[in-house]
Amino acid sequence: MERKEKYLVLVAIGVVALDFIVPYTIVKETGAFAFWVGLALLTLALGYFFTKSWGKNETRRGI
Amino acid sequence: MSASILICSILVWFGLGAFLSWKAKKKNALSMAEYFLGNRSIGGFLSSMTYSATTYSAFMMVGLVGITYKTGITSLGFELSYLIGTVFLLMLFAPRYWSAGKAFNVVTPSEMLSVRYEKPRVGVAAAILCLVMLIPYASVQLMGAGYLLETLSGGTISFTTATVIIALMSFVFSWWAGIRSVALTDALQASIMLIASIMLAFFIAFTLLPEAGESITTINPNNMKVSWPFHMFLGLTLPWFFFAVTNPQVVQRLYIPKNITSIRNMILGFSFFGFVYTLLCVFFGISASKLLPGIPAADKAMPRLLSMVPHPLALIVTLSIIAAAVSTMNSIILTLSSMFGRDILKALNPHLSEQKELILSKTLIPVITGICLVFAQYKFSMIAILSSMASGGLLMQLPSIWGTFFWKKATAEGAFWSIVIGGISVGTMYITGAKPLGIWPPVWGIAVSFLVFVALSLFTTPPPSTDIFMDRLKKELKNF
Repeated sequence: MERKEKYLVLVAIGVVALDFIVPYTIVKETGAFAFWVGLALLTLALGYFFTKSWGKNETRRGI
Repeated sequence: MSASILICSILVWFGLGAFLSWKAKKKNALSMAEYFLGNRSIGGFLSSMTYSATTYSAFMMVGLVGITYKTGITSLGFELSYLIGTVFLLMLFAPRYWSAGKAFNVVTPSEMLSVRYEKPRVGVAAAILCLVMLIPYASVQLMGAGYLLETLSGGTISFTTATVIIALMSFVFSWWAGIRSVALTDALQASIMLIASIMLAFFIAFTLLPEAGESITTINPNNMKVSWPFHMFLGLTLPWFFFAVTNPQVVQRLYIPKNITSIRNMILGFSFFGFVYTLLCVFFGISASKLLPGIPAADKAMPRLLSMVPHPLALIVTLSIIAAAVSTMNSIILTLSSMFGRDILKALNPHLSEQKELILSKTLIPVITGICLVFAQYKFSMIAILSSMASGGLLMQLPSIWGTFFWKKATAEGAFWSIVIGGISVGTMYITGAKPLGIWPPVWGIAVSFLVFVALSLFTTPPPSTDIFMDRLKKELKNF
């Protein structure tokens, strides 16, 4: 596993912990909708940036 | 809704899908990889559409809308947790499945386990678990679409007729060219799923609920609290969180992209689709709770909502729900057929030629479709239990899947028994309704499965070619 992937796993653990803990503590009465939508958008953005370099090598190497 | 208009629309839809399915056939498939994986040459757009349509079933527009109607916003957390988990898992596992699949010519998800652990019985155990768990799940797709058509036609289209039409559609949409047919028809079906939902959302927002303001949160503030008990949230969310690596019909799609850019486009396209579709379905549930309070059966929320919209829109949304059911069902059946051929028949008879293997696997498509149809007709009460435990049962593959790519000390014994003991444990708990300490079966099951996997792996010997597998994978991953 590359260093970049190790960081990703750590971030994933943090996001998942927030996903389960925050709605049952801080935003239980109000704000859960915005929290879950925000967390999902953050994950989607992470996905975009994490995979941004994918495929760059294959153009150069002609895979 | 008029039954004749409904039937005519379904026939037109059927004709369009059948044409695409037939059109996808370029030449006679001679290999398992061509028929079931499109020779690993599917582009990013089609990969993302088939991944999305396979993942999101009729559950979204009927079940999720109903749960949201009844219990409020926690269902959004449940469904978005699935999306969050899937995006992270795809970033880690998609490159590995794709690279190893290509390097070792793997066709099915369970075959990956057989190759890595060098024992076909590991793949056999995983394939049997998938067959047991997914046939009832596929039958429920049939039943859901059958009930919907029966209800909307006012009984003119009987449940049996409706399920036969859906089963036939599912078969025809996949038969001619396997995954190529499925990918093309899935693109059509995913499009109508998204377009119909957006149209319905606009109609609700501007015509039925214009006073609600600009935010979903003001429609019905009572439904915006986290209402599920934590054990329930964890028990339902955990199996779905790992869906992307434990459900074979989506894992098999990780083998099909033609290159690394296509894998990325598949992940990003699916992320966008999943996010938008989830928000729309939750919006429908919240809106229905405001517009139609007091419906006793929550699953009726969407059909009742459709009775409030103009007929052409209701018809398009109905077709989109049928599309969601068909696209999930035929993908499951296609994957199970390939697993039956590759992981069970080939394991029993290693000298089976690829051509015979393909013929036998293809024969399984109508056979499994027929089994699902029979299951749906009898409406076995057991089907409800089996389908609800599908995701929980499939979760028992997680330790062996993780070990395949990330743990060199993992052994065939650990993988095999973690699937068998985990599967039996979770199945027994679901059937008996046991929830020790109030904790749901998948949570106990995955703990048992991991314990067995780690303990047995530490006391047995890893496969002799573990280093070769891992080194080859490491080399392939450098391309990302």
